[in-house]
Amino acid sequence: MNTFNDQESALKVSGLVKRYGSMVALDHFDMDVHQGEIFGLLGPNGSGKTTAINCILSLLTYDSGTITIFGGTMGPTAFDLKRRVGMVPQDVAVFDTLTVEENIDYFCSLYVPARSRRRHLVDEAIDFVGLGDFRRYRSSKLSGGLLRRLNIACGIAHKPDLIFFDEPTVAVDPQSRNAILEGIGELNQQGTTVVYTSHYMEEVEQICDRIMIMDHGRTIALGTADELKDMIQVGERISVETLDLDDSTLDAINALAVTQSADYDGRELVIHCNRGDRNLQDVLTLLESRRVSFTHLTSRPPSLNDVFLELTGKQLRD
Amino acid sequence: MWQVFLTNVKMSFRNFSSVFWTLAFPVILAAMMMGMLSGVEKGHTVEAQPFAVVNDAAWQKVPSAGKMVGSISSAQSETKDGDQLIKAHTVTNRSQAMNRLDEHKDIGYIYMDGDGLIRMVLADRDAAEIQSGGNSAKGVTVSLLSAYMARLNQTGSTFKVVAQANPARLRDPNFLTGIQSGNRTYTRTIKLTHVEPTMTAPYYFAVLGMACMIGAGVTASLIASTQANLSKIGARFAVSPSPVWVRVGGAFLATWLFSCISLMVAYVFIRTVCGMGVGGRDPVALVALVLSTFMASSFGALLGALPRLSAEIKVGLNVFIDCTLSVFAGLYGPSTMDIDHSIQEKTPYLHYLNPVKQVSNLFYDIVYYDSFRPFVRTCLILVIMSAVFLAGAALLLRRQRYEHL
Repeated sequence: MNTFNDQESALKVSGLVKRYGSMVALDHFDMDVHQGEIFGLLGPNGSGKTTAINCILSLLTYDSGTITIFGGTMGPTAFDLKRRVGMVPQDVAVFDTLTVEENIDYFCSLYVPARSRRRHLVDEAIDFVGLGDFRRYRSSKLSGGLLRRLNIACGIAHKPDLIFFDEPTVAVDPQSRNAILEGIGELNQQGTTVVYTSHYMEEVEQICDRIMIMDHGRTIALGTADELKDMIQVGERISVETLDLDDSTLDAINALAVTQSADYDGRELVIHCNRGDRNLQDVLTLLESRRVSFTHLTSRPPSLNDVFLELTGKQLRD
Repeated sequence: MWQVFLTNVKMSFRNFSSVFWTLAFPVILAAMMMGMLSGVEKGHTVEAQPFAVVNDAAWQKVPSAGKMVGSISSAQSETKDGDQLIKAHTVTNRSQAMNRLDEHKDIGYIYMDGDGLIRMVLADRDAAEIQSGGNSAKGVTVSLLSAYMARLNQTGSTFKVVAQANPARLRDPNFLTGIQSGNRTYTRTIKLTHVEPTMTAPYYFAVLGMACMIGAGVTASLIASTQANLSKIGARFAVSPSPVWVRVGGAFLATWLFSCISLMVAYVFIRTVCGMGVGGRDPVALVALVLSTFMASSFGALLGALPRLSAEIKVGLNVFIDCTLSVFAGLYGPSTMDIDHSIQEKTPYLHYLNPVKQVSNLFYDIVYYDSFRPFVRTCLILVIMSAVFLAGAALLLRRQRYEHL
C-alpha cells in the first residue's frame, strides 16, 4: 500500500443528509479520505454506502452537507473535478455492440478528447486489466470475469486521481477477484486514491489502509483494521472438536477469566474470549487438567464482523 | 462530441434490432406491399375482354356499329394491346353468341335490336362477378363499352330526329362533323398532376411514413441510455466531465444519420424495384428524406427523454404509436385509406397532428403538384413538429439533471 499524506484530503464529506421521504438514508454523514490511501467503506446492504457515493459523484441530490474533492466543491457541473475522478460501478456498464478497445476508448473520450493521447491510455488500460488477447472482441462475447475487468478498464483508462470502486468483486470467480484486488493495489501504488466499498470484510481488510464502518446512514467506526479490532472487547474465538466434554468442565471453562462465553453442542466447543495474550494457553491448560481429548483445535483472531457485531448488535452480512 | 457521434453511429449499425426494424423492415414491407398491390393496379387498367358480335341483317343495316367495334377491338390474334377494349368474335346469330357464353369463350355479346339500337348481353356469371366487384378489369371494360354504345345509340337517334324535322341539315358538312365528333371541339386535355397518378402510390407513401417513424425508436433507445436514472451506462456518463448536451447531441445526430440512410434505402427500393417514380424530382425527395427523418429523430428524442420508462418500453411505445398513426395514413389497405380520405375531407386539421401522414404528404406533394408550394408547406409543418418535440425533450432532460437513480 502507498504511503499517504493524512494532512491533505482527496475527498471530504461533512454533515451529509439525504432523505427519501421520511426515510433518512444518510444522517449527518462525515467522511475524510486522504490522498494516496485506499479507503474502505464497509456496511451491510442498505447501510447507505451506495447512496453516499452517488451523492459524492453528483448522481443524487442531497438535503444538506458539503462535499469537496481535492479542495473544490463537487457538483454536477464541476467538470474540472470530475475529470480527476473515476468510477467503477457495481454492475457492468459497457456497450454490447462495441469491442473491448472501442468501449475503453469511448469512455476515455469523455475525459480525454485528444485521440493521440487517448490511444496510449487505452493501450495501458488494456494491459493493466490483462485483456490484450481480447481487445478486438465485442463485449457480448466476453465471460463474466473478463467483463468485470473491462468494466474496470473503462473506469480507470483516463488515469483518475480519485477512483471509486463500488463492490467490484460481486459475482466474480476467485481468480478474477485476486486479479482485481491486485490491480487496485497497483493503481494505488501509482498514486491513485481509492475509495472501495464492499460487504466482503476479508477484501476490505486485505487492501484498505483505513476502514469506515457505516450503518443506517451513519459512521459507526473509523480506523485501520487493527484499530477497529482494538475498539471491541471480543478477543479470539477458540473452537475445539471433542466428544467427551462433561458439564463440570464446561462450567469450569465458563468460569475462566478469559472466557466471555462458551457453548458446547456435543461435538464442538466454541469459546468467545476477552482480549488478552494468554487466552489459548489458559484454555489448553484447563482441558489438559481435565483430561479432555480433542481431535481439532483452532483459534481465530477477532474479525471486522466481530467488530460490527459488537458495535451494532448484528452481523455484517445481515 | 465527434467521438460520441461516431461511436453511436457504429452502435446503431451493429445493433441487429435497429438494423432489422429501421433498415430491413421497411424494404420487406414495401416488397410485401408490391405483391399485394399488383392486383389493385391491374384492376384499374383496361384489359381487352372477349365479346361476341352478332353480325346479322340488323347489324349490317348500321355500318357505324361495325366501325365502332372495329375501333375498340383488338385483332383476332391473341396478342394483347392495351389500347383495345374488347376481343371481338363475329357470329351470325344470337344463338351462336349464347353458345359461346355457355362455353365460357366470351363474357358477353353485342347485337343490334329491331329499333336499330346496339345492345349488350353479359353472361350471368360475369355480370355477378362485376356486380360484386370481384373483377375490376371486366368492370372497367363493360363500363367503357356501355358508354361507347350509349354514344352510338344517341348519335343514331339524333340523326333520325334531324332527318324527320329538317332533312336539309343533313347535307351541311359542318353539322355532320359536329354531331360525329360529339363535344370534342369544346374540350381540351389538361394535366392535373405532375405525374400520372397510380392507385399504389398512396400505399408506398404510407410505407415511407411508417418507416420514417420506426427510426424514432433507435433515437429513443440511445437517448435513454444516456440517462443516469435509466441506465448503468447513463450513470457512467453522468459522472464524466462531458456535458449532457454533448452526449445527447451526439446520440441524436448519429441516429438521425442512421435513420436517414435507412429511409434512403427504402426509398431507393420503392423507386427502383416497386417502380414508384417521383417525376424526375429525386433531389427534392432527398430533401424530404432528410427533413422527415429529422422530425422522426426529434420525436425519438422526446420519447427517449421521458422519465422512469425503460428504453425497451420507449421503443415499444414508439412502435405502438407508429402503427396506430399509420392506420390514419391509410397504410393497411383500402379500408384504412378510406379513413385517411374521410379525415382529409371532414377534419383535415387532424392530419396536422399525425407525423406519419405528414411524411406521406411530403411525397404526395413532390409527385403530384406542379408547384412546390404544398411541399414547402408540409416541410414547414414538419419543422414545427420537430421544434415542439425537441423543446419537450430538452425540458425533460433538463429536469432530470438531478434525477434519482
